Amino acid sequence: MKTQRYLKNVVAFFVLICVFGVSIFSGTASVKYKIATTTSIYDSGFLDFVTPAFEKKNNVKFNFISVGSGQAVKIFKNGDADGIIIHEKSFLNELKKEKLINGYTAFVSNYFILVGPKDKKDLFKKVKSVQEAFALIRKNNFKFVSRADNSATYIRELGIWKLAKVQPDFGGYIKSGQGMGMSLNLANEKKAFILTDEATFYKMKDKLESLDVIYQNPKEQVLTNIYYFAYSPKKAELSKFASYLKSKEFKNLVSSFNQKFFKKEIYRIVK
Amino acid sequence: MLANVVLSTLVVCIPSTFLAVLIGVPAGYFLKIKRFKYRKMIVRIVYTLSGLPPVLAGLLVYILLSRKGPFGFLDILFTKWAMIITQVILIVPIVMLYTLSGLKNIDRVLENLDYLSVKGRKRYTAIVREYSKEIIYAIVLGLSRAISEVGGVLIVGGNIEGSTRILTTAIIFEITKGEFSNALMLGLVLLAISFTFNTILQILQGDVFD
Repeated sequence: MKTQRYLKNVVAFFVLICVFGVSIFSGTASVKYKIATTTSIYDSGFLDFVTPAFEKKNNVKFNFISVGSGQAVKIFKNGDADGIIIHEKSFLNELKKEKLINGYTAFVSNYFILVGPKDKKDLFKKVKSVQEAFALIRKNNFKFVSRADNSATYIRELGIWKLAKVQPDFGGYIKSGQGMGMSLNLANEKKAFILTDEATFYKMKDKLESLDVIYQNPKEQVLTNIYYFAYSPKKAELSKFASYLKSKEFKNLVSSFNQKFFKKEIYRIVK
Repeated sequence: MLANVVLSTLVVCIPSTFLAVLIGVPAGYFLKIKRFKYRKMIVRIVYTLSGLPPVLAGLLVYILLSRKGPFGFLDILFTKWAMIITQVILIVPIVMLYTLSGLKNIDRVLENLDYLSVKGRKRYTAIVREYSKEIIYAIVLGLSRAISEVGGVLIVGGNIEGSTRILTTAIIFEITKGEFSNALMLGLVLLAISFTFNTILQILQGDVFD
């Protein structure tokens, strides 16, 4: 008899937790939107910093699913997300052609930079363009971490190899297959070069003790990194968020984010 | 923040273990005592599935639950439900496997029950009582798998803050950002929860049987 009572208690405990759990699922009243986003702008903490003000005012909640741009597009295409934030225009044009989005909003930009081991910085002093830097890495067979994950950063990296007119098939070329943060960790451990966006790099800089900026140039077209927001026409209410991204309030949040985490202008408003 | 992650972990792992035990124990019992065609084949499949890689389970559930998949109408991808389903798929074969091996001497127990002509519901209560120690152990196994699993729930949950971020996926996220000390802290919390559960279950086992 004693046994039975104990078992009953165990079952009661589990049922209680289940009921408790279910009540949590249905707890919030606000409308939820799933937004597939590229890792770089999410991992930097940017989205979590600028969206709560909007969420509060409009009684909505954004659920960000942070994956590489390629996967974000797949998730959006399958209809598993209501909106998308990525930094690869060609993907968006594709979505537009398939009538999955009506248009897109460019809202912030930063720059791609080449980072690499501190002790090799001097070798790149006279380099005049990013493709020249890439060619130098290839020539010396230096270690280079590539995300190789169909992300926007990877697509840009391939574009630069093409400009440099070399194939990224040398011995030092490491394919990480992971997001920006993880790939930076890898580059740091391996003392390798890597193409990254400014925001992710500066946010993690104090953990990346062997890396430093090797080459940057805001004037090079191939190094501009613009983030876009787009949404499914079925979720027309999200146009509000698109206009919010162009508002004064948003601009102020961007500058306070820059101040708080970087002490300089990293994310720039796109006109 | 941390409280939310811990709560989400419990809300995902406990129901999934509960459901898996609810399915796996009777299924294992059935497989143990009934003789039918393809039984051996099914047992072999259960053995194989008990080692199912979580990422594969995650991928399958993802495909099934995606808007373009057969169960897309449910609209539960990237929610806790999807995570629970994935974990149930992972845990049921483990529980079944353990039930299969745990029901030692079941034939004798059944014979005794026949001899005493215990029938219907009473018969099952008696069996549950006889094997409650094994059932608790099955819960321990299921819970351990649920609480330590990350590949599957990351795929189908999406690691959404305040919703599908549980301890294991939060650890991955912290590592991604290079925040190794945060990751370690979360790992210790995870271990503490696991320890608590096992203590509770062990006390139950002890109180009942020793």
